[in-house]
Amino acid sequence: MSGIGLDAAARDWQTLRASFRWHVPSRYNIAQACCGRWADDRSRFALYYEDESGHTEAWTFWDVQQAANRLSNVLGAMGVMAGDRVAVILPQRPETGVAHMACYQMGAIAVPVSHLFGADALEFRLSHAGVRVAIIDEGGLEKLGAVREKLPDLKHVIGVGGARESWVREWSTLLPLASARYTPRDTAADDPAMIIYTSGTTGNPKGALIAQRSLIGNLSGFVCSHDFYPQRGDMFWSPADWAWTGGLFDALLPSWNFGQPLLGYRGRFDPEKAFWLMEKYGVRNSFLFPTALKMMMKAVPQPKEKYDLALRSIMSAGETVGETVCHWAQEALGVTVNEMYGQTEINYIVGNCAAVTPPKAGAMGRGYPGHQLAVLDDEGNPVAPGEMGEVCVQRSCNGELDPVFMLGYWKNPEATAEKFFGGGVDDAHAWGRTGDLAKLDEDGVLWYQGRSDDMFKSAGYRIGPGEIENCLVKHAAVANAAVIGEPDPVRGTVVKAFIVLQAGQRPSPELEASLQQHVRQYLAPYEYPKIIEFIDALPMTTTGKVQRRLLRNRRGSVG
Amino acid sequence: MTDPVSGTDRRANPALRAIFIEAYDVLQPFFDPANSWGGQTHEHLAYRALHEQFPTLSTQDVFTLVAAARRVFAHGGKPVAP
Repeated sequence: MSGIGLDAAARDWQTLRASFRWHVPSRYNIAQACCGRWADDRSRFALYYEDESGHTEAWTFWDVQQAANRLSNVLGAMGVMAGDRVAVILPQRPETGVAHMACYQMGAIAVPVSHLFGADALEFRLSHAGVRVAIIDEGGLEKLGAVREKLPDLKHVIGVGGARESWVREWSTLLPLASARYTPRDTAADDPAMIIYTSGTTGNPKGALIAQRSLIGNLSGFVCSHDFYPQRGDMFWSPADWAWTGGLFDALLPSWNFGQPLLGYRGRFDPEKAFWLMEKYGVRNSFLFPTALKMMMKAVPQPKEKYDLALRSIMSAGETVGETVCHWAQEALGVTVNEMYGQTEINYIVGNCAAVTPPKAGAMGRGYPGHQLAVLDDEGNPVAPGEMGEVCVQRSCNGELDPVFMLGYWKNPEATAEKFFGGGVDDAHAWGRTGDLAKLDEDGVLWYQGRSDDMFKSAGYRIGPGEIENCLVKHAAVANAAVIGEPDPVRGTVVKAFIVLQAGQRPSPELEASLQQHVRQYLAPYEYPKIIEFIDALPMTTTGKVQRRLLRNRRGSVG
Repeated sequence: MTDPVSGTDRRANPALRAIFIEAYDVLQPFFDPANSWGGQTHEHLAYRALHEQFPTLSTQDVFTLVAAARRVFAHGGKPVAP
């Protein structure tokens, strides 16, 4: 057994699913599950850390718990109580894990925000969530400084590493003054734990309010996607940023839930460095975006000739891996890639488990144990096998509520209601809508067909056109803009912008560069349009909505 | 508590007495010396927590309840039903 009730001896999917039941206690806290219960064993390592300069650290669960206790006391002194929001604007580094544990154990709501975001993106998220305290390092400090006076709820900023300003309280000064003991709050499983912002197709990003029990809902898929994790000697690493669902729920939190160590690396992704880290730390399990796998394949086609690798399992998600990469991983790494599908609101719901059934190359996989999947039409009726419909997940499975579901969108009940068919988020019979289209084959395997709206994924990041378009039209030369996904042989999909210029403006390479820099500055580096096309007018509906479908059809772009 | 001279109950606010046990449960964690920064407990949070739990209480009532709860906690006692 896997520790969560999955039968590792199962040799077919039906047996695996049929034998599984959720065990969700009424009182539950992520910090206790991921750190508190392992902290008594002073020799149990939680985190190995390295940065680009070569600086290394090793933290036991006891070390993490002590630091989390101190930080909880610091946050309490700053007036943070259960339900208050704390932004964690940090990359992969020890303080990120500590900050999450500190927030969860005091019942505060962590708001992970990517350190790559520009000032506008940062301002929206911190303002919308009503963040009271922000924890940030030197990478994001300047951008926060540009907008902090527009954030009336933000009372304190805690600076990590080299983040030093007159308006910042230093982590290294605050924590030593705090007690290393902390009595954690007794939280209900349904209490909120974090808000993760997801990109929207129209308007602003939505904040998915994630419950404490959501972590439990991720575990059956996590265990399967790593061929019955944990096993003796397992060691996890993923380049996925710990500010996203992919980094938190697909790497950091499930590893710690099982009391297993993981590697944190702060630095840009580099395929050679990835192999070097895997060898140095004996990495056995990894979550790698398809783009990362492709880069690794091209950079080091025969990695075992150069590196002494111990890889046992690889999960990949974010977009389709493709047969070439799957075959390369099998032959060159000796590992079958288990593709996984999920989203922030309902994560880790579909995927593969090579230890039970060999994956079909290019398929999304099957519903993981504990999740009831269906492909439904626009009226919420199941479609026949082979027909395209929307991937939906029922709020309950085998008569139990599925714990993976979010609580709802923060301050957005309309969007929460639209997320479900046949009832609300608390209705056991309701179906959660993913917005993704798929076909179900005769074996119960899902095949991805595309998004039902205009959202797309590039380099593993989920991108909605709305935020980028809003940013582009703020440029003085732009009258209107529309953004779509354009197929790219390396990244799968890249951001493409159609620009209508203001009167008197002329297209030029300089203007293109200026527009790209504009988006880089105010949003995130991965959101800037790599392709720009200037057009006279955007195709619009009679109600004034941009018809992105027509733009995609111009050159075979994807949605 | 009964006045030994008059024989009447000296506690004049039965509404506060009625919610004291519930209020104590809310307040007790904020007196816990394990949870401290710079040697100070998180008692400053007790007032806001009580306001949020009992939004109709006046500031004076909140102050009274926090003071009474602090006394009970300091003496290691437990509140008893009125």
